[in-house]
Amino acid sequence: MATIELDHVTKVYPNKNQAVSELSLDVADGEFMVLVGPSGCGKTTALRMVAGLEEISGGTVRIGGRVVNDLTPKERDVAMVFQNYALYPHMTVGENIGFSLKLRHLDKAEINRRVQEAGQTLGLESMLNVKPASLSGGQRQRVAMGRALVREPAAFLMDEPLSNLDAKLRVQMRAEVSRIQRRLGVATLYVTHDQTEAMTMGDRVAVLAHGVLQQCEPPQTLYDHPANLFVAAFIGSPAMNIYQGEMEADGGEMAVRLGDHRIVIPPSQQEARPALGGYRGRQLAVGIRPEHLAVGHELPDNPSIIPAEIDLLESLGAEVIVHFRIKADHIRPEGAVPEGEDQTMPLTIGAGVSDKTAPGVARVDPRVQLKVGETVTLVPDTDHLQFFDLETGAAISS
Amino acid sequence: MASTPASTKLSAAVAAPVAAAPRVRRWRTWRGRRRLGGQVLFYLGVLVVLLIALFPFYWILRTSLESNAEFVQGVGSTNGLVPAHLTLSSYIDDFTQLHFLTPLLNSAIVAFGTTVVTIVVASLAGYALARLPIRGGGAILTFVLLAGFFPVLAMVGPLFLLYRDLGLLDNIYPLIITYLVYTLPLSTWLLRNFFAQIPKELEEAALVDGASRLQTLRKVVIPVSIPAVFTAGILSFILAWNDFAFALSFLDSPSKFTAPLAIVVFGQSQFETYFNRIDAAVVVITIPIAILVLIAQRRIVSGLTAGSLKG
Repeated sequence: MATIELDHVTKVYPNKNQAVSELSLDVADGEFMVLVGPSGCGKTTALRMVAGLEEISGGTVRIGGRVVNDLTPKERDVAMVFQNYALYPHMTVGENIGFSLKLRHLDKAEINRRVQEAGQTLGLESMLNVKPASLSGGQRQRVAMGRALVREPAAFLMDEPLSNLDAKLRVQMRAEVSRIQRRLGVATLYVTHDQTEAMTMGDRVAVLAHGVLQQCEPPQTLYDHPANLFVAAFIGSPAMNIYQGEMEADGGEMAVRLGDHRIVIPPSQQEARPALGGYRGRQLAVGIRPEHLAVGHELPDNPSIIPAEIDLLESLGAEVIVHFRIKADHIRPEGAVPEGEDQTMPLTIGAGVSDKTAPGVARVDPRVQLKVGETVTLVPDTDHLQFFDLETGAAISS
Repeated sequence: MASTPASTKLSAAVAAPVAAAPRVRRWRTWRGRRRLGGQVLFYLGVLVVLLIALFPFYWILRTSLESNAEFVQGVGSTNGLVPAHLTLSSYIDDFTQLHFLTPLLNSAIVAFGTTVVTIVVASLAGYALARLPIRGGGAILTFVLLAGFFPVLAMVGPLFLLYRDLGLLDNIYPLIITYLVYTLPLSTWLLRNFFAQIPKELEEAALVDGASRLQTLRKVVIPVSIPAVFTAGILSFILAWNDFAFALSFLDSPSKFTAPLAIVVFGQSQFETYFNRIDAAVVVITIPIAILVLIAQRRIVSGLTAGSLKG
């Protein structure tokens, strides 16, 4: 039982590549901290520095208040679960789980007892005498977990432990890993690129980009109040729609222009973000989540409606994901949306689309009758608009 | 539910002709006949190769089981592929009159010594070359491999002078050092290449589990590399066990002789050459190698199949 503290931790590789920059992060005792970011953002490097598998170039790492910078992995008393499980192929499941205890010269009966207990927790009792080669992916993942939890370590480190599982098993193991972690109450640092895992498992989520910490908050706070454009675009699936807008310079009513469209900013927003006033006559980024866009055919009595053309409809049963295009400038922070997971369509779809159109996504009730290619009206819930500075990318939150 | 038995019967009736069809067709159709002919040719070829490879072994075994008198008469009408009278007399002579046990033991000491030192040193060196960021590691590796192919006879002279000056001649233990010149490079190279293929995470898992570097090597890397370790071990053992040139050059007293050297002496009588005794000794020294290879073969196969770990 201990805390993990990273204090201005930096990793510079010999080729001058800076993988992690001044990362400061406190994982409280018993807390489940998720480190999330796109591939290559330095999250795994950070984890490996805590484990002692990677040298720390700068800053300090403390586990349970003890500086561990110069300690070997053995002396740090942490357990780690690897992405490819890294089970010892020449040992049985029981021997795999008990290996760390054997290295610490615990007596046989005690090792046996703890291995049995871990086996029971993970539903592996019947497999303790088989070799990992004959196990399924899910079972191997459990063995890897068992190897970590049998130790009763000061901290758990997990490096994308679920990414090799198929989708269904991943959902199941997600819940199981959370359950086990909560029961053991050990400080956990969990690395993933999957933001669903981050949102569902973490007590707090730290978003990392290019080796720099962007924001570290509980999942809901992260979702509702992203600190900058990167977090806004990275957290949430489908991703937040972000467009370039211009605050209208004059008039008492505050409004933002997105291309040809004018959106009135309600007083509640102006109160919450007094700094918005300073952007009058200037460009900024405006974001809105897919669930805060109503899609319809009629023209409601609302000053802030946006006509849009439907590109694609994805029916998920409980909801429909509507991909549309509007006349506006699109903003997509680099690297925030992993390749292949980009929810937006290529620009070539649909003839006669001008080059000034931007893609967007809305999630709507399946009872709304929509057809691909038709023009609809979007009504944004302006209370949920987000604003970001274009130069710094920071949220305009005060 | 009622239709289940009927449907299984139907599927059985359908399945039977399908299964039988190829057997019927094989000699009836042109293609089937050609395939059958190809198979016959293939096995004939295998048989020829086997005969060529095994005949010398058979002839050694046959000669070793002959009495000396019959051997002197040569191969005749009564004494053909199988000797007229089988006898173990040459084996008995080898061990009683000629004291073959001493050179056998000498060979065993040298071969085991070479193997053990090779495995220990080559795993450490191979692991270092595979995992440590050594400057010029590639060059070292190339040099190591080249050293392994240095001509044996070119080595005999210099080493003889060196051993003479150091007083190491006529002693079996310096032979171990000599053989290491050849076993270490090959084994280091073999093990390095195998170690380099082991996922790094496996070692990192062991480190995090609380193992030291050396424990990681001993308890994870080497057990996982059993196929390579066995291959290196067998190659080293065979090289030391079979060596003739170094043993001949460095050993003098018959009590220090290794088995291959002793065998040559067996045949040296003033008037006769006892090929049956030589062949009996050859059979004896072949047995350990054969057993070793058979054991190792099983280990190598099981080692390879247990290697998979990624999901």
